[in-house]
Amino acid sequence: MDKFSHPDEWISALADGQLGGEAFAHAVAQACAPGSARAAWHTYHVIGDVLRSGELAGGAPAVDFVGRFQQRLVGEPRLYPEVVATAQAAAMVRPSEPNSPAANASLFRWKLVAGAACVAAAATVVLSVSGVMGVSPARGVLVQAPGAPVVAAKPALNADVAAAQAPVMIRNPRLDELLAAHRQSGGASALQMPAGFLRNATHEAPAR
Amino acid sequence: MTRMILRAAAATVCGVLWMGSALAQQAGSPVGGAAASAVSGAVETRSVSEWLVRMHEASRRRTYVGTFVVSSGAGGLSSARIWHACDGTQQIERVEALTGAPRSTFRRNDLVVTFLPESKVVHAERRESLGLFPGVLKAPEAFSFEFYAAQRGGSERVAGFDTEIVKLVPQDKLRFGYRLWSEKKSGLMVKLQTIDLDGRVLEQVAFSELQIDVPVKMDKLAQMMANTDGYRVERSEPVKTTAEAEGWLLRVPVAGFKPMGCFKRQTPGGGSGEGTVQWVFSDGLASVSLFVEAYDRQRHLQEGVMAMGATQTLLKRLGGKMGEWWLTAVGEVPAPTLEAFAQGLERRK
Amino acid sequence: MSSSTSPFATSTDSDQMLVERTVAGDQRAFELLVIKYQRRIERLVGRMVRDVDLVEDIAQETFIRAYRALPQFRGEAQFYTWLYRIAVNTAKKALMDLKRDPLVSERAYNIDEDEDETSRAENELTSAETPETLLAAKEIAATVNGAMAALPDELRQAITLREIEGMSYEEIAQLMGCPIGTVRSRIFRAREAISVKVKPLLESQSGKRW
Repeated sequence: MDKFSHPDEWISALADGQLGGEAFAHAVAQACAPGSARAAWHTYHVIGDVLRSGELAGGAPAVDFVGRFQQRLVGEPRLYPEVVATAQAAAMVRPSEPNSPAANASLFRWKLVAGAACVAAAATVVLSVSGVMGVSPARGVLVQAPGAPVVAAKPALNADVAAAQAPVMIRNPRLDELLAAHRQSGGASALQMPAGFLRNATHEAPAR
Repeated sequence: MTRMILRAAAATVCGVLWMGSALAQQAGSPVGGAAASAVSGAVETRSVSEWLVRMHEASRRRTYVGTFVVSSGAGGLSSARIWHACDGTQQIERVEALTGAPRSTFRRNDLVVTFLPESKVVHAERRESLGLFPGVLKAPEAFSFEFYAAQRGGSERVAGFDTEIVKLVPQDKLRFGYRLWSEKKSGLMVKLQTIDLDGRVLEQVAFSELQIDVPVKMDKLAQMMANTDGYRVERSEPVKTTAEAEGWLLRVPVAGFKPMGCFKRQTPGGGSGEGTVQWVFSDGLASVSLFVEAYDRQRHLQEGVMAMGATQTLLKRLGGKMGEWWLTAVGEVPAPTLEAFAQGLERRK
Repeated sequence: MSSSTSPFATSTDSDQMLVERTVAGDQRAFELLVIKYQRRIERLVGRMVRDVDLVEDIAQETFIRAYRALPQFRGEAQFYTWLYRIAVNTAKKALMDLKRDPLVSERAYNIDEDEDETSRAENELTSAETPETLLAAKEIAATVNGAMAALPDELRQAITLREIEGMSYEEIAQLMGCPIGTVRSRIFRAREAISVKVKPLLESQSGKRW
């Protein structure tokens, strides 16, 4: 196997399912301990998420979220794998085999063949979609699920959004009443149904 | 070896998620955003009213269930679940708020019933011309929509449906623009944006998920709507009147806006007063309500303009020769338009 | 290599292996899955619930339930598909507990669980965001996109094929005509270059470090 140039390259490979056996165990151990490996695991996944959708840049700060989760996890009992009858399932539960080329050669060859077939198709599809737009937010759609619809990426609404420009006025119940009365004036707009009605039905607070 | 050259996307109506400026463009291939399959701004064969009629026909004929989200530019957001059923002669809808205080709104034609579980109160009211077809489209000669132009904005996939984007472009500065995402087969509106004069999105109503033509039980919905057990029912029927009878006229009309009706409501705290008059105007797409009541030094403290999503509100004291009045002008129009109404409002007698 | 039930399955992440490791007794391996899917689960829940705190509570509850149910996860489906269903059910239950409305029935929240949430319109605001978090999110997104644009071509291509097209290293190697080791290196270097710019923003979010 090639040399890794940097400890975090292990984390990068781990994120992409490229490690097995001892390499996997080693990388997981690194990423599970507090430190830069864990930070890398987090940052790399933020990058991936954001590339697929700007929306995923938000959310609660991860360190806090995971910290709270850890506290809950402490109270949880250890898990025990369910006893399974089939050999296939048993193989899944067994710890991964060492990633020696000899042992995995046939598996790897299968993958290459499957991969090559996909690539030929993917090349055309990727060319046509990414040629038009450099982004396809549904990960794996083109290669793994050719039947799935290709979704065009759209920017966050934030980019077009007008900030509230008027100074903040003090809302009062009377104003809310009048706003509600305005919305009730019903068919005064062709857009009232369904858009206006929907908007109003969600916004209306009990006015009285 | 296939050399992958990823191209920069042309700016589309909605913009681009990210664009690599250093990327080369493959020669000879058409440039276009994946979001827009048609050329933006192409001449639109359907008129504004044709698009709107199509949209309403879809609502009249189809049943659907979905989750939609109302979001405002300022960041406010609310969502609800809607069940819509119709059988050609009547429509029933149920809207279940997913955010904020619990609230179930039912509508059968023009009757709207809102259940508020927290206070065990039901509000029932008839909303004029909310029926099968909104008032503005019933008399097409009344609204020519001349102040809007329809433009195609391409196609896009929203909530799992192929939609056509239609831009309703205002022809003057007195009104906002709209972007409509119309489901290709049925014409059902899947998303609607209200756009201000600078092209920014003020408000958006959009389905995040939608199933069209699902079997929705009309009788079940009607049952739920009628079941007010355990609730106190409050009815509100504003009194219909005319601006003339109430002593008001708009000396300088605001281009495109026609008066749609006038109502009288109670003013809070003042049993002896004249009440509040609501005078409604519309240009076919946007509506404005002028609320006028007697000026009250204690309640009417702050003049100014506020914005909530697409809805602008103008608070102003009308005085001088007209006597002492307080105007609250509300509408999905730019603030200067509300100001124009305020300027044109005059007292009769 | 990654375990899979079929020799043709191209596993491009470590989810299944992390699940197995967790079930084998390593609780901390599950945290890697939490870090990976936190944002997506919060966005999903945030579409149904606006209250910021409630969104996070439901997300936490989702991961705990997933942890408990892990031994039953057979790996026939993708881990995230399974997690998604748990999130939807957890959120539904939370909403129903909130409302206690006799009119609301289980059918009322009949969300199509098989629908890939990425097929929805992307330019909607997530519901549980404050102006501050919105701004922070915008900054992060802008930084990532800017850093992407600044990458050398082959690094950007590699990470795009991996993250956006979802290709495996083998497929990318075929496409780019280079050894797998080079693919791994390019993806790593792309990630590092972007990380340098994005990490400070992430760290300032909570003030804490990993």
